[in-house]
Amino acid sequence: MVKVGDKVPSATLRMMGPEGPKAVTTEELFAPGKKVVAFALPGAFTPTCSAKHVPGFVSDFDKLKAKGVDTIACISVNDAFVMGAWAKEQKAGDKVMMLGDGGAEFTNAMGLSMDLTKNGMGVRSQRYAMIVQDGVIKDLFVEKPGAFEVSAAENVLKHL
Amino acid sequence: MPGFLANIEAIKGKGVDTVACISVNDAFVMGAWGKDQNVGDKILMLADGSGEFSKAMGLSMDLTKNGMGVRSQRYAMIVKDGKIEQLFAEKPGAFEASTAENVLKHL
Repeated sequence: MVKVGDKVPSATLRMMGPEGPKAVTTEELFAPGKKVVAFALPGAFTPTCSAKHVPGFVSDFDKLKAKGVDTIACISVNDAFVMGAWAKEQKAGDKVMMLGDGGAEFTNAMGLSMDLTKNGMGVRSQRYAMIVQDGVIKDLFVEKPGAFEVSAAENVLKHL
Repeated sequence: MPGFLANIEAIKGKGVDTVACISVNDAFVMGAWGKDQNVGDKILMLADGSGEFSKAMGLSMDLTKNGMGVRSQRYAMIVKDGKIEQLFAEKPGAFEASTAENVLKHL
């Protein structure tokens, strides 16, 4: 698993655009000079993620921006089509970038995947949030299995 | 999907008991998609989230490079008493053999 002080690993994520899925590399997302809050979760449309995790970041958007955050990104092992549909449902608009890591390339590189094959969900991401400055992880908040505390927008805000 | 929905009465009229849609997505995604498509109880929206069924069918495909992981090929089949009577697997990118219209012709 990555740790505080590490550079965010290289991977290509995908985001739904007007003309279909487009690639977003971690180099672009976590570019030098940018302060980024990224949070990851086990799946789009799943109960905790839909009811709490994403809404928290959408509603705290202004507070996060006021702390100098340039970009807020949500990452899940779903494809760009699913993330795009979920973004609409969650009214994420241009507040939260909804990024698909459909092949789990990024999640595996972070060392934060978990195997939910037995639950019929394949390999997914653990729930976590991180603060990234200039491509380097400044804070990393990984949840214990089933928990939803440290990765919440409210907790991330305290560390900005 | 819309094709099977539009043809559901014709398909049922041929003695089909169940119409099912299978995809390598989880049940949450399939449920949300079912709502979006107004599927109601017409089509069973079944998740094969780990690709277990698709692999066992020998009809998976690796879309990892497209950021989609291992998925199912597009196909349709007619199953009677647990036996595959007809199997319509599409060529990559095609959408012909597996359409509701084509399946109807073979019922």
